[in-house]
Amino acid sequence: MKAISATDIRYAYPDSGSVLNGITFEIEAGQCAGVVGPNGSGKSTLLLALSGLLPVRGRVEVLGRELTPASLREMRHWIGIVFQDPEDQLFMPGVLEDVALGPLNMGLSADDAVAAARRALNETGVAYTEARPTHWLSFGEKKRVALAAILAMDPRLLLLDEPTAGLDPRSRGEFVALVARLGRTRLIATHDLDLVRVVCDTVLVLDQGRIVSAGSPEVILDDDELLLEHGLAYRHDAAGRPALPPGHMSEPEVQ
Amino acid sequence: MVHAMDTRSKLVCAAMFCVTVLSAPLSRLWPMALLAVFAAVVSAASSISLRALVVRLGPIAGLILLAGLGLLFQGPPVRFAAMSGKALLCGWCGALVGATTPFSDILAALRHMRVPSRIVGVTGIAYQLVFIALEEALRMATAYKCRSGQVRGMRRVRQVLRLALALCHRIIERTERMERALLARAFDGALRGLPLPPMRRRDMAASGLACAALVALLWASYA
Repeated sequence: MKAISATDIRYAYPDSGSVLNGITFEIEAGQCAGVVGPNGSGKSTLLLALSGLLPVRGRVEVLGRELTPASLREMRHWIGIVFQDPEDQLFMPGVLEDVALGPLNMGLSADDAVAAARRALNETGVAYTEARPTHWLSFGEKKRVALAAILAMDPRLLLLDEPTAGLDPRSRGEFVALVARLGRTRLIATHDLDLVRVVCDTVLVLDQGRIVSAGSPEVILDDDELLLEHGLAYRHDAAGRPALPPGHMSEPEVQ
Repeated sequence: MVHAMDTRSKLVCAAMFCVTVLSAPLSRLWPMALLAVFAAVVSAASSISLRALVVRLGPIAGLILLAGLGLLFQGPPVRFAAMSGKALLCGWCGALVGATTPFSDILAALRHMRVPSRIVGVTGIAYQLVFIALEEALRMATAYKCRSGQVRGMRRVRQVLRLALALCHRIIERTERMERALLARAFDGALRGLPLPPMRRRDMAASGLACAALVALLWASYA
C-alpha cells in the first residue's frame, strides 16, 4: 500500500514566487524516506503540502485517500508533522498539557489524553519534564517534547522537518536513534546526510522545487557529482580545505 | 501555604480582594490600611521574597504611576496617592498570585470557572508568545549592540524603530507558524486543557472565610 502518493504538486508563495514545481513521487507504507536538497529547495513547503497545511495544486493521497479540504479534518489525525523549530509547536504553558493537547482535540477523554501524553513522553525519553513549563526546556528537550506532542496523537504518517538541526552531537545521536526506532511511515526533510544514511530506506533529492533524483541512500549519497550539483556537498582545495566557489576571493585580505 | 492552595480559591480570593480595594471609600484610611496589612500577611505566608514580588510588580507599578499622573493635575495629591495605592495593591495581589501559581494552573482554573475557552486559549498562547518575543527581542538587541558602534541621536532612534518593526514582522511570522502547528494538531477553535482535581474542603473554607472577611470589611468601611 502507498503511504503517500503525490502527483504534480505545485505551490507558489504570494511574495516569493513558485517553490514547488510539479512534484510527483510515491512512498510505500512503513518506509522511511528522506528529502534532501539545498536551502530554499522547497523541502519544508513540501512537508506542509503533504500535511494539508498549504493549499497546493495537484493531487496528494495519504494511505489511499485523497487529501481535500473535506477529508482533511479526519486525516489530520493520520498525519503528524514535527516542525523544524520546536518553539512553533509548543504553545501550552506546561509540557504535559501541551503533549495532551492533540489527543484532547482528537476527542479523547482527559484520562486517555494524559495516558497518551505520558506514553509519548516516555517514548521520546523526556518523561521527567512533564511538570515543567515549556519555555524552561533546553532546545534538545523542546525538540523531543515537540516530537512527543505529535506521537501522542499516534499518527500513521510522520513528517519530520530538520529533526536534528541545532542539536549538539550527543543529542543528535540520541535523536537519530529515536527516529530510527519510531516504526511508522516517515518522511524526513533534512540536510543531515548521516541521518539519511542511517535511518532512510529511500531518498528524494529536491532542487528548485523539483525532484531531481530518487533512489536508495547508498546510491544517492555515494554520487558525489549529484551531491555537488545540488548543494549537498562542497569542493575541497588542494590542501583539503573547503574551497570557495569560482569568482570569490581566494585568500582573505590582510588589513 | 499559599502555594498549596487550590488555584480556583486563589483566583476567587484575589478577585474579591481587588473588588474590595477598588470599592473601599477614598475618604477613610483605615480600610486601605487593613487591606494592605492583609496583603502583607498573605505575602509573608507565601514565603516569596519581598524582592521577587517587587521585581514582578515593577513594570505594572511604572504603568500605574504613569497612568495616574493625570490625577495630579485634576485634584489634590491625596487623590493621586489614594488611587495609585489602590491600583498598586491590586497589582501586588496579581503579582502574588502569579508568583505562587504556575500559569498552566491559572489557565486550567479559568477554564474550570467557565471563562470562555477562546479567551483562555488566546491568553495561553499570548503568554507563550511573550516569552518568544522577549527572547527574539533580546537576540536582536544583542546583534544590534554588536554592530551599532558609536551611533547616537536621531540615527540611533531610527535604527531602534526599524529594529522594533523587524521584531513585529518576526512575531507575525512566528504566529503564522504557530497557527499551522495548531492546525496540525487537530485544532478546531477551542484550546482544550486538562481538568483540575475537585476542590478540597479546606480550600473552599479558606476562600469562603477570606471572602466573608473582605465583604465585612467593605461593609464596615461604609457603615
